[in-house]
Amino acid sequence: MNELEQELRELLETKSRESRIEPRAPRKVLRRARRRQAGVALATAVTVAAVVIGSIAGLSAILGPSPSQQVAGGTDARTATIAGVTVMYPAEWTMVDLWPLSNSIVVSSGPTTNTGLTLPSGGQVPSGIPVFQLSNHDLGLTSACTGTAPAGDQALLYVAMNGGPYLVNPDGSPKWSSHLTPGDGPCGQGLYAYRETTTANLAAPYLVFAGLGPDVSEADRQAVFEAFDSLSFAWIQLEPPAETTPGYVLDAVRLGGLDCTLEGRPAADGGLEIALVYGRQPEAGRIDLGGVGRPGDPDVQYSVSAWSGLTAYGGSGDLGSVVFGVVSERVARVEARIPGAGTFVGTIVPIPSSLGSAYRAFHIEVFERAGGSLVALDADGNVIAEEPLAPAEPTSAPAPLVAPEDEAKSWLRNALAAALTYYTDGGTFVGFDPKQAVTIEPSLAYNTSRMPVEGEITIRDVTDTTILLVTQDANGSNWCLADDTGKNGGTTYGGADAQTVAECSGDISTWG
Amino acid sequence: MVSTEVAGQEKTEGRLAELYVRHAPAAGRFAYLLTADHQQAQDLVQEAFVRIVGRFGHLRVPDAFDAYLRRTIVNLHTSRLRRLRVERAYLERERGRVAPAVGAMPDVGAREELWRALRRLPARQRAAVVLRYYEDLSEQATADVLRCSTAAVKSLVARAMATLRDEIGSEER
Repeated sequence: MNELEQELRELLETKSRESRIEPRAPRKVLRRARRRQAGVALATAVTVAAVVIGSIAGLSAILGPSPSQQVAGGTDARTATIAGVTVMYPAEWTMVDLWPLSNSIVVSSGPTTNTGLTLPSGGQVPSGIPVFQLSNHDLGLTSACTGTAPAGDQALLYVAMNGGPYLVNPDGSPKWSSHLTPGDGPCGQGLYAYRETTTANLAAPYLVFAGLGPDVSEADRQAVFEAFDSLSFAWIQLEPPAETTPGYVLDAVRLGGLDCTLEGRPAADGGLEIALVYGRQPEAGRIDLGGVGRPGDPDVQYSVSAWSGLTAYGGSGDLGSVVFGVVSERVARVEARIPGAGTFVGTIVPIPSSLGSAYRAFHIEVFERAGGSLVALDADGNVIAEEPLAPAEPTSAPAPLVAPEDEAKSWLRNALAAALTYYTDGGTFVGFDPKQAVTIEPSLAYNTSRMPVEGEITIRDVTDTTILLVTQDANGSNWCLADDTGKNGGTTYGGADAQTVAECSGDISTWG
Repeated sequence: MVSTEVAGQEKTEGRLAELYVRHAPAAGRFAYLLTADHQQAQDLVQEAFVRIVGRFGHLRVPDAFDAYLRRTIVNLHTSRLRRLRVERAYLERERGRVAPAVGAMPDVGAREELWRALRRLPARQRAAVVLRYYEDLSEQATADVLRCSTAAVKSLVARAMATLRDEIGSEER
């Protein structure tokens, strides 16, 4: 054993002793584990082995990681995705979905963001298309990127798509690095960063601003950096939502493995609007419950999501459902009781006082479709209200917004990103087969067929340095994407059922 | 009926809690070496535990719970890194700037340098190193966890060690 190996062993041994994992399992983990076990056992009893595997995968998605976690120091953390941007932050902070403001910003012609959105030309939106802002104080439902840096002990993280002249230099290079860098910009003095989506070939630019007041606490300062550190940007086709009012993110919710947010905003007809919004397709994937939480309203007001078949959004099949709504101050606990499936306990979350409602929001992730009842109990366990919970009708799947060919191209880009990840690990594409591919990018289906398959990625012509990916869109058109990591290689494109890399040798214009 | 159901659930959870207590600490140390982050390590262990427990009755070799747990942790970690593409450099600098100075031991500098270099390794290289030099797994067992060939394990470890040597300037040793 050489000196480095010895040193490494000692280091690993020493560092492993620093591990501070809680030896006891949190109740939430045990509940999830039990449900999963029960789900698997049920599936085993009623299906053949192949179907069991599929069922586990489905349950895996449904019982996916809870958006709520604990962060160092015991603070509750929340992970939310808004318009494709994911961030983890302290749950007690105020998160505002600013994406509705895009409705009044995007135009029909001008510089594109590569995500289907177009900005006014001439740098008229220096603060970009706001995506969200995160702050240690409630700064209201308007953008805090006003040119004035946060004051006092305020801490702010602001993320926007693009950012006009503040994003790039005259030569087109990013003005800021990918790390937070001190400077002056559209949000005032603070820390700025330039970020991009991580999908290969197409880059959608983002502006990130961190503002720290002169009296900000060290803990809040760290929270801002950690939130920045956790940011990830997904390349997705976006459209502005129908509404124009930003909303408070009340909690993050998982629906069939999809990242959703529960949002609250003033309702046009008074009271509150509570919405369940799918973070990766905020326009199509939203269900609103409007005009609730007014004085004198019932103790429980709710809606049930029932999205299914969201293959276009990364999920598939029956995704379960989420019961969500508001409860009055009298309610201490809310449950969905479903015969034969058990009791699902809801999460009740506060609504910012600035919305002026005494109600609180709740959500219950239900993994069954059977009908039952929604029960609200007081602090002593007495039933305050019981509402029939109609079987969810899985008919409200949002229609895809993207054109079939754009959707297919997106699949190919994501598949190529997976292939390049594999290549980065091993220095070769050889071995990148459907089995490997699905472990890296599980949202896609793969094959090695000689014929293209609609909705699946066909992997062909794999060598150490080249790979060819082919798919067929919903209209029956074929598309290919090839990559050559060799010295004179690069990414090439085509609109054909290419069998070899050479047959898919066009440039990006081939894709129109 | 409801009380029977609740009792059954509590019994199941009690059994799962025991299972967790038995396996989580070791898994936590392993996850921490992969992530260098206590909270991420805990999240990884919990998520891996939930996933593995769901399949536990169907594992061909239930005694191999630890091995399945390790494999799932590696996969989840790799997947997480892939998604987040975390850029830690700035945060590290910031922490270094604002954190109070730590009383230094004579060899802390070199060791921390190696630790930082280890953290910069690609996820699979790092996993291979931890499995080989911390878990003391054979190349075959490491390959099983990483679901690759033993040749690939050799390659991953060799490249990792070369990188570590370069980064800490071990040629001077």
